[in-house]
Amino acid sequence: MGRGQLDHTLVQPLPLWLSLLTEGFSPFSAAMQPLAGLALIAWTLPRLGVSITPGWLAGFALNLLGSATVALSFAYLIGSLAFWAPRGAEEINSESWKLVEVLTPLPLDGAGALLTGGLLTVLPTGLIAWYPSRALLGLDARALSIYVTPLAALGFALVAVLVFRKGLRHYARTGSQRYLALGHRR
Amino acid sequence: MPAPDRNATSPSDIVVRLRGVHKAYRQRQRASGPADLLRTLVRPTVRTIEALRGIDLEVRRGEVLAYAGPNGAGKSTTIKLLASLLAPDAGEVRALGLDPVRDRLRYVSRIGVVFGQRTELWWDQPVAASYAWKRVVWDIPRERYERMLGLLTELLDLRDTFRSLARELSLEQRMRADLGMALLHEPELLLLDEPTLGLDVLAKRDILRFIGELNRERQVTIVVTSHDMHDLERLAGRIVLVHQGAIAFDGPFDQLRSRFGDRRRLLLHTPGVAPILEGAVLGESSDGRHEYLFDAAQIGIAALLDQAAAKTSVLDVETHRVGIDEVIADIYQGWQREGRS
Repeated sequence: MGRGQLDHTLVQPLPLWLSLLTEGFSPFSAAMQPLAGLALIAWTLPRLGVSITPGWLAGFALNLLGSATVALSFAYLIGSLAFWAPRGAEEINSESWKLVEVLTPLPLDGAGALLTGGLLTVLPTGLIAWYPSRALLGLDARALSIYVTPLAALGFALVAVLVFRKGLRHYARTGSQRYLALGHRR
Repeated sequence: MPAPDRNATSPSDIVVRLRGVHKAYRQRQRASGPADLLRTLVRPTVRTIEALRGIDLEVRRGEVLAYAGPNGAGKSTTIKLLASLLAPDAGEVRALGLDPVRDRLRYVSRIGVVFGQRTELWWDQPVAASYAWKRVVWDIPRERYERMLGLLTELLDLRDTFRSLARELSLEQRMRADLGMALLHEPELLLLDEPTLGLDVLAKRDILRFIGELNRERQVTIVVTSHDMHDLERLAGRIVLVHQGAIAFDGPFDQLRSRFGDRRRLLLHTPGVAPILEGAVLGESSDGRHEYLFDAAQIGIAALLDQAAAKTSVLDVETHRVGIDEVIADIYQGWQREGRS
């Protein structure tokens, strides 16, 4: 939206959420990373002594979805800045996403409460990998730990949707003053 | 071109209706220097620009409307309002009986939009892939798609460009492909924003001819903006001139000419210096060829020739109607002068 490309989406007879969710969908070229991740999980689980039951698999699917939702919600929250600051948001967006990529694999065991709290709320990278992994491995003794990531994902998604809708209303008032004339998707 | 099989409607149907439409943009003013930086951060200066100030406009089914005006007059804002990309601050925008923003999904499936400086084609894909994508996203029935594809390929001469990547096309080829894509779903309303921008004379002529045929044979309602008044006059029966966000003129081109004077150019070939003709302004003069400008509504050509013949021997005479580009340029210039005074 920072470069007026949202206009192309708005002239398509598709709900905006559907257009944006499928934007850049690359089922083959982008499939290697999740496939490799799943293979790695399948290889390590028996070695970690995790008993794979239907209930565990359901929890795994729920947390995987929750983890993806947290990441997507965060990307949308930061990306929505482009509605108000089209130029500045480009830099903020790319830098904040780099930060997510760096911090997501970081194990937070042993980290202080402030850092852990911050990385579970303000910059929720802890909810993308660390916390759901602990819950699925049974390292968090709390009974409902398996539901923490999906519930947090719901909250983040709600905030992201609200901010995005507010941004979209702003876009309908102001439009895009900044267009990159290089065609459709850039 | 076969007629589209849509529900019959009266030719007098109003397709586009704008009532009292206002649109303003707010521009945050940047700091003029380091000292001003803090002040603009704490208390930013915001400038409000009135892009549209109470526009009232109706376009009938099957009409070609030329929408023109100097830079910053509000043309693109109007097109964006009609393309569902912007909402008005006040007033009502209705097109095809729908609110373009609120009923976006139903509305955009019935319109076609071509922005001269933007392309709807997928940049790194062959044109054929963009067309196939359009069929799926617009949910065009296969039979209708094949029929329109065949028709547009022939009329717009798309055969050679179909397998090329969009980014490899020349400007003309890209515009043809874009026009074709905008028409695949047989839109009832076509919005063209500077469709001939950057095209050479030949390409421009072909594109204009195609758009004209499209309107005549398929009754597609067209709203077209351009800076090229000559193009607009060839295409449209009616012109709306916008100036500072308001409609300054709405009517046929002939009426525009007569309202702002029926300006003509007189070329005289005489021996010696140019004779002074009352009611005409002498322009260029060299080698016995003299160019005058006059308003035919004020003084007849016969009266000017009588004057000339009384003062010198006239060897040759030519008269031309001043091109619409010049008429409009004069109007814009007049507006500029009014703005300064």
